[in-house]
Amino acid sequence: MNKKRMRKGFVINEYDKKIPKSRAIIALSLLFILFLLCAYYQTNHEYHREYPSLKDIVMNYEKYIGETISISGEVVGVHSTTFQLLEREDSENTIFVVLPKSNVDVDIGDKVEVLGTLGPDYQISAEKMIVSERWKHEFVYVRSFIALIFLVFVFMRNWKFDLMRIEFVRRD
Amino acid sequence: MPDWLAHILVAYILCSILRIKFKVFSKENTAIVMVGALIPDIVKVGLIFDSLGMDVWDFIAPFHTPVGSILSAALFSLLFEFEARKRIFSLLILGASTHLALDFLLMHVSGGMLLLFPFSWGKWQLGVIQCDNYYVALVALLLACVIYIISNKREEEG
Repeated sequence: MNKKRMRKGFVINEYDKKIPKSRAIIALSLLFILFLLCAYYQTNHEYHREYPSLKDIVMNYEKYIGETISISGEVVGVHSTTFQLLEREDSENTIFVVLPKSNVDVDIGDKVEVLGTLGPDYQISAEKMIVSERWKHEFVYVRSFIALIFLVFVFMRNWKFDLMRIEFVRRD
Repeated sequence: MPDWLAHILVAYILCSILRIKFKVFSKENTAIVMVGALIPDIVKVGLIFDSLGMDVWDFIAPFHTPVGSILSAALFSLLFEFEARKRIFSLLILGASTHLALDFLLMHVSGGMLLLFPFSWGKWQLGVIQCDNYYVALVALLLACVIYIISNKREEEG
């Protein structure tokens, strides 16, 4: 039997009426699982770190002298044989002095990943480094922004949002 | 991450190639795969929180894992018509897979991708390209343009 009724000029059948409720339940369940996944990561990731976190280093500095650490941040100062790297973690700012293995061309604003040995006074003797020039990492955001606009255009050309059914439907 | 341009163009190229054999990769569905290609980067919402002075990366990191992407894709597919939902979900997963595969190529001094999270905390990376590398996007852009022109010509002829 076709159970159809009119509401605000739209024909809604009984089958469609049931969907939003079950959909809401599924959506809430998925959100809850995602929340659990995130909470599990947040509470456990510290125990599975390969190298100490910035917080650990700052709190127990002496303990980590001579240990290998991994940091990443922005270059805030360049000297003849060293450069200063600012790392931010949990709103905490720490400046490290990096001693590269060989001459490395870095400039203020560049992003650098460093794997090296921690010395006294926040010095790191770099063993491995990856430098991303300022314009290059800013260009990533420019390209991504263009891509986002392009994607919205492509998507909305093929799909439209039906407010009554709260879902995307194909454009004919 | 390679930039979003590389991600969505790789998804477009893949769908265009697959369209030769499988009709399911229509223009509408290609758009879905392209959206899926950005799903793992939901994690980039952390940048907005950064600008507000809040560090949420340690909470939202699982979004950039295969399991997180599957759950996000399932959630997003609920915004589509009931009959098409399974197919939409599969297409989103295909897109997310291209994203994770591209990110797997990235080079870091340590760490990598949590491919088996929450079952394992192992991190992997291939260390082939640097995060700011624009050649991937450039090559993808050229390929996508060529494919677009060829497929348009075919449509006109056919």
